[in-house]
Amino acid sequence: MARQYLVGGVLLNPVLGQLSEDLPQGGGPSESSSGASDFLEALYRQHAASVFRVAYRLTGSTADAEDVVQEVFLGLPKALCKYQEQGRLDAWIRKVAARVALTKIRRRDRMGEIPLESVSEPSSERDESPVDRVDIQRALTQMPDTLRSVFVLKELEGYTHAEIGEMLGIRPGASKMRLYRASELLRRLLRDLR
Amino acid sequence: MIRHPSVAVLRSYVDDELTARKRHKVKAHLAECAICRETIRTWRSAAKEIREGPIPVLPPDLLYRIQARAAKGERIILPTAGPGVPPRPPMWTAAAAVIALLLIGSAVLFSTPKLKADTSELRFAPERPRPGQEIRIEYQPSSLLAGETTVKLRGRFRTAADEEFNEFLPTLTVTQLKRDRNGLFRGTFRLPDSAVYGTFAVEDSRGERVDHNRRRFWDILVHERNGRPSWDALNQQRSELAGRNWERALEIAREMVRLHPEHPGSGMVLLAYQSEIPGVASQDSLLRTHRDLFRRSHERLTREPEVSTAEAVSMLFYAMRLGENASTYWRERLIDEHPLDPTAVHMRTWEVVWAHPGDTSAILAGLERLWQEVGPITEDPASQALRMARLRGDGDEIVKWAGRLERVVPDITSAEVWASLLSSTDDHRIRRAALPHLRRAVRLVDAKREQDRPLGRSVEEQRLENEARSGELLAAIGVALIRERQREAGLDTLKLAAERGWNVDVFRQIAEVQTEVRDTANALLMWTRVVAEPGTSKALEDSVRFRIGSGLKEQEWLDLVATARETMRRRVLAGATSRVLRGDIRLADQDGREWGFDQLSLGSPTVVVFWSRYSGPATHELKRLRIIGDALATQGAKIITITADRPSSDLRRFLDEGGYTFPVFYDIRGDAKRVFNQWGTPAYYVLDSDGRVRFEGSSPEAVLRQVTVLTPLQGARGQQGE
Repeated sequence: MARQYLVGGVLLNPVLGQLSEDLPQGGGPSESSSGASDFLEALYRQHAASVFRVAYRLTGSTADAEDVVQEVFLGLPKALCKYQEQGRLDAWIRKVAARVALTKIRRRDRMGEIPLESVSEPSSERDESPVDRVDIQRALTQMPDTLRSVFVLKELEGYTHAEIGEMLGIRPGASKMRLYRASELLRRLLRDLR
Repeated sequence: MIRHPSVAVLRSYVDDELTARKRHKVKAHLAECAICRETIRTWRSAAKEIREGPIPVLPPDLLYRIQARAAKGERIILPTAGPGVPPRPPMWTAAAAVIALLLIGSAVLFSTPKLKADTSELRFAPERPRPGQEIRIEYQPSSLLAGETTVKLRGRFRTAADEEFNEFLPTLTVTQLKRDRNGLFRGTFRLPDSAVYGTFAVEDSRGERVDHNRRRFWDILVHERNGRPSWDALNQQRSELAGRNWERALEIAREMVRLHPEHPGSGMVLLAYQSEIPGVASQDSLLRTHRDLFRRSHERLTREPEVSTAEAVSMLFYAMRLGENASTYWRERLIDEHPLDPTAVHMRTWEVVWAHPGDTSAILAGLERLWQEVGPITEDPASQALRMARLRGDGDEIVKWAGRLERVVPDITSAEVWASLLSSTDDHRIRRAALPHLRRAVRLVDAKREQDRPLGRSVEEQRLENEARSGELLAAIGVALIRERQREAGLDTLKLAAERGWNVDVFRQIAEVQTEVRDTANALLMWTRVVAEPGTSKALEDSVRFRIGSGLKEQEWLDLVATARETMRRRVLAGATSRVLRGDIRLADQDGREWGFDQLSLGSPTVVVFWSRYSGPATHELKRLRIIGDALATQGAKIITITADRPSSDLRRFLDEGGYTFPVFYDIRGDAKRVFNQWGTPAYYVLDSDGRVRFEGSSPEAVLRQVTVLTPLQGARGQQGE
């Protein structure tokens, strides 16, 4: 039987994605806090890697991606109350992570920050393939956030333009145009880097 | 010629969004076209890299950190829904927009195009030049220069080796621009081969009216073949902006990292700026990221048999800032591989000084050997040797090293070194050596060399600056002549010096000497000027009165001081402007209440200071604002500080911890920046009681004096206010 976790008065079965709110109030603090901690750990072990990949690919920065991971897992226990069992839980969590990452990018752009780390060092051992992995990484980090976001959301998660538009607050047509521009820019950047 | 499908079509092909017919056509094209096949392969490789490519590893303690934060009760509300898609405007709005456009469209077609809001524009072609390339210029003037038939393009070029700030860089007339039938000015020039960056302003042929693009100038960067600006060009752009606009320099430092991540100087420069931002400098994630970047560069460059000067210097400073032990390695490597690089010479100079603590004789001998090897590359050996010579009081060594220093720094600056030496010594050898240099400097200043007039400064503005400078030099000459027992020549020279500008240090110097040689009448005039300077203590005034004015009646003394204040007023106001601030400025105070700027400024002279937490120079000066504010209050004036930083608990904490109690207003809509035309912080403006800007680009040292001249004359010290 799948373990159930008591978190903030809500029972959660992360495997089955089921929620139950008809629980007795109370329970000892140590019991609920250790249960909450276990639950957080279980969520983390299961989903942190994929959340981090989404965050890293969107923000282009390890430091920002780590911040996103922290925010997601701090907020997840409460946010799971809103999970309505449409589709897989892992996909839902990654979508939430993508939104957090996009918020981070918007805040970063407002402050004028450009991620320092989002620049990979050239490796001394270059791939022999025509499109070098290092070149791709470099080209991706050189793209403006607005274009990279759409490219990553499309290629990493396979979102439709309607979904991307909903996440970015733009129309599907605008999402499509950004993808075209991102693709053209990527092509040009990789050509220049060779 | 082959027609390739557009990016949109290729992309739709990859995403399987084409109709069957179109898909078939694209497929047929791809069978024949390697270019498009390569394009698609590029996108698919990128997609694969995004999905499967290696990414950094999560730190093992991250879970622990999250659990610790959760245990403290920290809660975050996650965005479980997106912002949503913006609604389409209703059809009638769209139609109205089209109609409106049609209505004005015809007017646009048949009227002469005008620039918005009387702005000018300077365009270069090509926009991304290569070194030594010919540049075509097109200049559209504002009303400032629209009436001219010819204008001058003046500029300042930087090479890869130039340093921060613009003090020693000559300003040239680059070319003349001639007006064409359409009112545009055109010309060409060739980029000097060694130039990587240039800054420009436009002015009329007499240098009276200068279009400096609202103090931003226009600039051009040399680019690489791949179309990106070279690292040296970006670095020189950043250097140019040091002291002009710190925030913009920080943006360029970020751009350097973004475009040239492989160059260690990029990370080093960015860290240098980030270190000045309170709260940011100590962030673990920031330092961790920089250390990571440094170490990757270190691993790569230590494998190289040779590194460039820029790389070695960058790695050295990067290591020093991060406290990395590798700084020893990079110092040794820099000195070993590039012993004549200015930074290497700087390091070698200090090695000599530290090798013989307190032993000025040994230090001088070591610096002599170093000088014989490196010559006049940088001022370090000469300036340190001069310091040692002064400590020893060795006149011959002082003369020798001051003469060598002159070979490294420009004439006028070295003359100021001689003037400073004269003020601290009575050695006749130094006096005799200094006099020709000082006279030469005065001649150069009076010659009004164009290269000495900074970009953006008009001929008249430079004249006032020259007057002040030559006053200092003439005072030094006059004092030296008197010490050389050439009394009459000395006193005449001092009178000349006293006629130029307003410099209390010069007046005091002159007053001391005139008192000494019993030129009492002139000494009294000079001392009253010292007394008239705002901020002069009552104790000094009483001392002067006692020493030299005791024979005067009270009213005579007051009249003399009033005359001195009138002289100050006249000379200081000679450099004043009178600019009306056009536009509405709304500011928010710390409680979130909105204020009109007029409410805050009208009725008494006001000093307006723009600052930002993200500007190192601005935050360094905040402590002085408190003192300035208190001094201004005694004059019946006030200080307003304005920041574009957003109000936040962080900023509040920063102000509280710093004890900054001056009023802070937030430029939430950017009104103040726009109306003042302010760019870069710190920036000081002095306004009169009618709210007109009278002094721009002022300084903490000058504001009190400038406010004083804007208030009605006082009869005597102690009567304050208007």
